[in-house]
Amino acid sequence: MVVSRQKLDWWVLVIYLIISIWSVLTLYFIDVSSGESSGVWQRQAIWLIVSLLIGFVILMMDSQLILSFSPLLYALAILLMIAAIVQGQVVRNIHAWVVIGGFRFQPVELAKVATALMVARWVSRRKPSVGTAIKGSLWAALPAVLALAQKDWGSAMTFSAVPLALTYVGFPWVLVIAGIALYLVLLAVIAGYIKFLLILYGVVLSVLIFVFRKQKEYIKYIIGVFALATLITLSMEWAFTKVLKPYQQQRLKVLVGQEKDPRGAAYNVIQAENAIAYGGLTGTGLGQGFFTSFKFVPEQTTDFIFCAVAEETGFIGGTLLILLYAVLILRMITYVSKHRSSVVKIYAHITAAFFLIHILINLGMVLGLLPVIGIPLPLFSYGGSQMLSFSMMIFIYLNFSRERYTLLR
Amino acid sequence: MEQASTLKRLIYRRVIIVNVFLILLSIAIIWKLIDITLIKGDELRQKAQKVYFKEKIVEPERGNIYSEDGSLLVASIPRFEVRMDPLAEGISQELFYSKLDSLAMCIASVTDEDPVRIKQRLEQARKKGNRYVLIGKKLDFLQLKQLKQCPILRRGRYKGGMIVITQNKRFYPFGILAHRTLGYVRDGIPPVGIEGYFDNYLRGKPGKEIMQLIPGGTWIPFRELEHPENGYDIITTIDPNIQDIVEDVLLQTLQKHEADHGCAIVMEVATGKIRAMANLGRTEDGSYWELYNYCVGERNEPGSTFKLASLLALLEQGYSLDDTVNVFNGTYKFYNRLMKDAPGVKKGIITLKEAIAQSSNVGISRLIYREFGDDPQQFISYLKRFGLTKKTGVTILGEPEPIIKNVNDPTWSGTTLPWMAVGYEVKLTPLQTLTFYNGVANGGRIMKPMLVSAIAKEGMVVKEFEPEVLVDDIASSESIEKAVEALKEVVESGTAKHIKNPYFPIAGKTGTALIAEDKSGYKKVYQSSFVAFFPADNPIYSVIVVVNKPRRGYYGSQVAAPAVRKIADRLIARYNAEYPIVDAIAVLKKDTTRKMPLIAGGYGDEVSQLLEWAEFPTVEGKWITVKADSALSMDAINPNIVPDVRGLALSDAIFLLNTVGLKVVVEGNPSGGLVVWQHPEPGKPVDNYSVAKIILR
Repeated sequence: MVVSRQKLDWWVLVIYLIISIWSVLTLYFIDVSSGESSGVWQRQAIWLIVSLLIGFVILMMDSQLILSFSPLLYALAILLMIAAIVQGQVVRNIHAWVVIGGFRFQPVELAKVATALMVARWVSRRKPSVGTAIKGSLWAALPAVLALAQKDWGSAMTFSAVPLALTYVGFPWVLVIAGIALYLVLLAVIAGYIKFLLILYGVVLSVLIFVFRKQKEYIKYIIGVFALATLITLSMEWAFTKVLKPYQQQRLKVLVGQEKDPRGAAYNVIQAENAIAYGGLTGTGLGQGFFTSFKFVPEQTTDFIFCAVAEETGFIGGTLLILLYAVLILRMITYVSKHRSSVVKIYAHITAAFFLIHILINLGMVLGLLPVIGIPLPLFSYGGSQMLSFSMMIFIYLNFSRERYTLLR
Repeated sequence: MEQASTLKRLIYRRVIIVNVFLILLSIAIIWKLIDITLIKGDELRQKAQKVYFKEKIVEPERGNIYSEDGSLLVASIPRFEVRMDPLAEGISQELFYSKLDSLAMCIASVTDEDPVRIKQRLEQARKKGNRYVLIGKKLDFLQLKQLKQCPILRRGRYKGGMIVITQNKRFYPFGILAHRTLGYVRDGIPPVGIEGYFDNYLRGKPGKEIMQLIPGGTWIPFRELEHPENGYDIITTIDPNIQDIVEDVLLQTLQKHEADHGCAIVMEVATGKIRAMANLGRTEDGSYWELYNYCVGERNEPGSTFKLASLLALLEQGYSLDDTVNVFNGTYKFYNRLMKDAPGVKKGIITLKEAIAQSSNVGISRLIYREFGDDPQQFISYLKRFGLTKKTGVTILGEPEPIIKNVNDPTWSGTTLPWMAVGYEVKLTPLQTLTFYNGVANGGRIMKPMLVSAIAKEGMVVKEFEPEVLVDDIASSESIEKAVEALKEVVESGTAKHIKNPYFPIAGKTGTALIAEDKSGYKKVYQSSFVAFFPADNPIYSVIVVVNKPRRGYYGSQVAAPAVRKIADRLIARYNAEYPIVDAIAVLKKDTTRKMPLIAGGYGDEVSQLLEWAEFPTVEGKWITVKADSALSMDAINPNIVPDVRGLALSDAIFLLNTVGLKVVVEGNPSGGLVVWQHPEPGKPVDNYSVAKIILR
């Protein structure tokens, strides 16, 4: 083991620092805008300092030691999530909080780090195959299900980062495509196009049967697939109208443009759009945002923090932030591409996928492309749990990735 | 090896497909950001400007109306509408439900609403997302202050969801007093009274400001474009003390005679300044209210009060008061129309003076017909000279032109002149009649009735109105003297002799006009009036009281004259030291128990004078109150402590409280009532309060 040959990924570290410090500054200027001292930016700064201290400890540790801790960490995270369901605090209707030593904490965030480590360790020890990838994904299914049990739909969704990352080691893309198709069908159901959809199935099915009338063996499958599709569509319709609460239905309808009530469910989306538009190219200036100052956008320090960035620093600021995230993600993937250790590669991919999913869903929601689901912008939204957990992910990545040469031997 | 590379290629393909999807989503996000900020940016910003900013007219503060002695008669005072945003950021679910009961109780104690309903309303609002729940409207400053102490609300706008909207409301410290004369401005109807006539001055000039919308649907000021210019203050000639007296007397009179409506005016003889103008009409529930300005706007046949014009015309034609006329047995036929005297009028040959004093229709009409029958237009010319054919031009809206026919009028007939002579076939308003009498009292100089003596702004007089002469010399001084003598005789021995008093002479004329009659002649509707000025030798005030459609009694002498007497007594007592306080003294002197009487309290000089007359020991002090069974106490006003106004009349209470710098909110019956409750309590330091509330009963 030759320590001098270790090479820290300075790019990722610097971008990490820029984003997290920018977050504290943004929170500070939100306070300036609204003329309040909410204490939010100070707390975020403290969490950042705590994260850096933990990050330093992680960098000091041996990578093998970290990996050997991963089952323990995973078990702890799962137990805490169960504890949160059983007797945790309910905040914004989500049973996802535990209080440890006076600090309120979301164990699902810890579960993201633990799952990334656990899956990386488990998959890397097996031969890359479709089976390995699917089984590996099951480690992510457990916390996802628990998050659903916590009524935390958003977090549950983010665990799809794991199968996404595992396509790299053979996770079947058919499932990913099927996922996308499912999503489109879901949109159609929400938009109320169920009859149209069923007629479409019928028409396509008839055409396919006509085309394949000579190949009897295909027809069986075709009918099977369409029967399944019809069943899924109908059960989605049932779930949408019967299981979801009216406000949840409304939020989804806003997304597909079926609801225009400006004071109702569309409120967040419309206000977010207004705030972002108000910033224009260069923004209103720091601490000057009109929508920010009057808190038009609900949750503007947490899930909708991008609005404050876009309003006060404009298109330029918003794009810069997105670019930083893009560089961070691409850098992580490319930096490990020549790495020989599969555990590092898989871990880096999962981490990158977690960042990507969070950013895409968060920005998609803020910009009105996706439904309003409570997902933070990594390292940027106000919140100790996510700051800590994404910092840990980054520092573990930094730890793993610098040892490319030592691990070669 | 080959197998491995095949797997690798396979995996690569999969990775690419997934990545293509992710890249598409990323592109969509970047595109949407560009779309919002750069492409649709301007449009959205403009839309936001429209939705979140609006121009608002800033209403200027409407001017106040003061009396000449500085009492506030009409003022703009802030009234508050309080609403609550039960979903304000600072109100957590826990806080809301833990404090909901006490909040509802607290609101209920201020607004007198049922606390259960308030609770339900707030709970519903929070559930349904209504962020603008009404708590109370038209609240005064005290109520607002109390609401600000309620649970949750005390946390303010953002933490407690309290939304306060300020509106300026017109406030009448004297309540009903001169309500119609002072007037009002309401949405949708033309402004009336002084408020209406001087609306341009009082209104001020509105300003403009940009408002912006903040979450919760509240608009707050963003930037001022134009500063509003506050309205001018109007200083009216109305004296609230005299108005109080007149309103009180008129009310009693109307109640006593169950009249439909009535009006009373007090005018200062030398200047034409209207010191009081009261209008009361019967409402559906039988009470009386200032419904319409009958004094200025109601034009009727005046009846006998018009005989002064006939008298003056005759005197100017060279008649003397001793000239006689034969009234036969009290009836006389002009052509086919029968002129009748009231029963009790002297029969046979009577003098002109007697004809006036006893109000003989036959006498006056015969004399006029004898003198002007050949040339009726000459009589009309006299009426013109007396200023009776024109509006008085009083500064209040709604004064109609008097109706005095010319000879060439198509409805002119042979009987027009004799009937005109006794006040029929002409129409005048009470104010027009009084203006004429006032001119006679003023030695033949008709003064324009004055309601406003100055326009002021921020305490500085901007424009002063001088008394204006309408007609300088309506008749020779001899004629005027004789006319006054005849009018004195009315009270001395004539139709109004029952109102005669030994202390000061009154000159006046009764009037009883039949203003409507159904076909059977069974139901007759009268207008009873009495016009007078006093003291007759050196008149200070002229007064008219008109009572319409009295159901009990109808002669002017029975109905209107006693009211004038009461007004005269109280005016002379109050404003002219030369003539003693009449009624009260008589009562006091009869009081043999010699126990200190209960006096409501009042201006020191008046009370002292009263006591002196009643041969009680007097005290000195600016304000004196006497409480039941207690010795006389003297209160010099200490400007630092809240005075005790309990037991005082409204005007005195307001004066005292204003003197120590407190605004006054009045509740209860303002006319004739006494203060039964006050807040703050007497003796408290004034500095802690800005508004005092009093209840009258």
